[in-house]
Amino acid sequence: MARAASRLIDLSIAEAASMIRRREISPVELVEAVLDQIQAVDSRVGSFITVLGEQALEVARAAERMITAGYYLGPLQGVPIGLKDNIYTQGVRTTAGSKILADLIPDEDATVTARLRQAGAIIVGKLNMHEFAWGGTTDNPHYGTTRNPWDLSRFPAGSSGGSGAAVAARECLGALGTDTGGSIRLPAAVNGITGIRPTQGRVSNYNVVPLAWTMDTVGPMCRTARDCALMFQAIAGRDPRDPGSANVPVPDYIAELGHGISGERIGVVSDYFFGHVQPDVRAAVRGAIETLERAGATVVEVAIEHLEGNISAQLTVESCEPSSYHQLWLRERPQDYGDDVRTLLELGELYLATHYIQAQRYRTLLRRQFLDAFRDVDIFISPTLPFVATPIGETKVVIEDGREEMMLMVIMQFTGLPSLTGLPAISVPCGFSREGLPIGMQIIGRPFDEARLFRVADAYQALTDWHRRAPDL
Amino acid sequence: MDSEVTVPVAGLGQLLRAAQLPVPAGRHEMLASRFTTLVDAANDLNRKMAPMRELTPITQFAHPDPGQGEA
Repeated sequence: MARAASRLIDLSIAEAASMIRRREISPVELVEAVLDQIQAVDSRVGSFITVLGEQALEVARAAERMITAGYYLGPLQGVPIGLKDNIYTQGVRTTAGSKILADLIPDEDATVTARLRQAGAIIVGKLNMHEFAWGGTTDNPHYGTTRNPWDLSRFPAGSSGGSGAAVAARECLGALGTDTGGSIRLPAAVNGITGIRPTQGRVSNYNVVPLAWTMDTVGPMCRTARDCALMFQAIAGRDPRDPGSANVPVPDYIAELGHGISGERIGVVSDYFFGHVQPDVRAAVRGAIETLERAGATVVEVAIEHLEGNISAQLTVESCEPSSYHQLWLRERPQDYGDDVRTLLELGELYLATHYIQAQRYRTLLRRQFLDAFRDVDIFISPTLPFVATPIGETKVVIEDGREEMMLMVIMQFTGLPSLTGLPAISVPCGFSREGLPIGMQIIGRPFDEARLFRVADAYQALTDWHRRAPDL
Repeated sequence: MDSEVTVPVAGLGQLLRAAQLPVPAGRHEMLASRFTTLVDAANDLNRKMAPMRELTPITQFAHPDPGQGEA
């Protein structure tokens, strides 16, 4: 147990688990190292709303005693993780990044929290987020601005920006985020980590503060695909308390890794996936696809119609559903919302019912087309988002030709596709821009085929080192 | 359906009243401008979807139905 604390925080979950099992490191050492890192960097990064220092150490000491006594719970035992602050934690404040819920102390865990605890994971804190998850910047008026560890003047995206930044900054080994329109994948991409949005219904949403019920999901954010698979194994599966939970058997995700990608058919919709993206993003994702081709995958050009409608459909669903959830608070406590979220909630009250229903019908159209296409391909690969991390406070972005566009109208250009169709998608680091900012690619799979996403992402990470790079903090 | 709609500030006020949502008048112009962009995109989608009458909306179903117990 002589490994320097400065190295412990660089361990992946898989590496840490192996060392804990062999008793080469103790959970206490690992948690102490993470808490030291939080102490050292979080005043600059701003990932955490609540740090559970003493509680985490107490659990770590208990884990150490269990391991010493021969009780090994599995690969998450003793591993420090963070939870986005819209995921209920019994006895620990859960704010959803809001003033409205500033005093909410749940008397029960979320199902995902309970499952992680049962697997032995140690919760080191609750992570900052865009208020009520309704936005993509994590510029939170109540709990501070989370900053991108790769460039502290840039945003970490969102809404799970605290989760993305904390994992990148080595403030925890893994985290849970939530994803409605891209809120796991966007911060995974711009912070240079890996994050998966599960198939709708694969992971319980019970006791997670909702944004838009028909698109909400919970998923892991880690440095590697293998680590995501380890966390996913613990949280996936049927939950009778979540009416949207699916009763589909959960495979052994780790056993599926390492089988290579020879013969995998990668679908691309070139015009849409590569037509309106920053040049560095285009080059990085194209390069990643070429790497997978060299490893035995084949690329299939696919035609899917009406893709451009996805942004409007997503904005419509993501406007109307939150506005119905927030209807009472918006009338009684409008001043307690940040201005951006208040504006979006007010706008969500103004759509016509036909707009909302046509958006939901569009989802059927889009899903049908993707499922048809999956007869000829195994996965799709696109950029995760069309641009790299923007300066904090910016609401516009330049993608090409010097033309400014509203960020809200383009940030979900690609992440919206799985969100609307209920398909699983993982974001994987695949390069850096000329300014040194991380770029992510999105791999989309068939319903409940997360195992394939982990396998392809893991195979890619075996061939590249983008995921091993660390920000200089 | 027109291809473009501009939501006037007065019209926005009427919509807010219909929704029984009290919003200070100072916010109406900003909301009208933002809603014009959003509703234009939503109307585009309406035009796309209206002829496709065979499509039903995505909805969420309970698994299992209440009272059925765990499958």
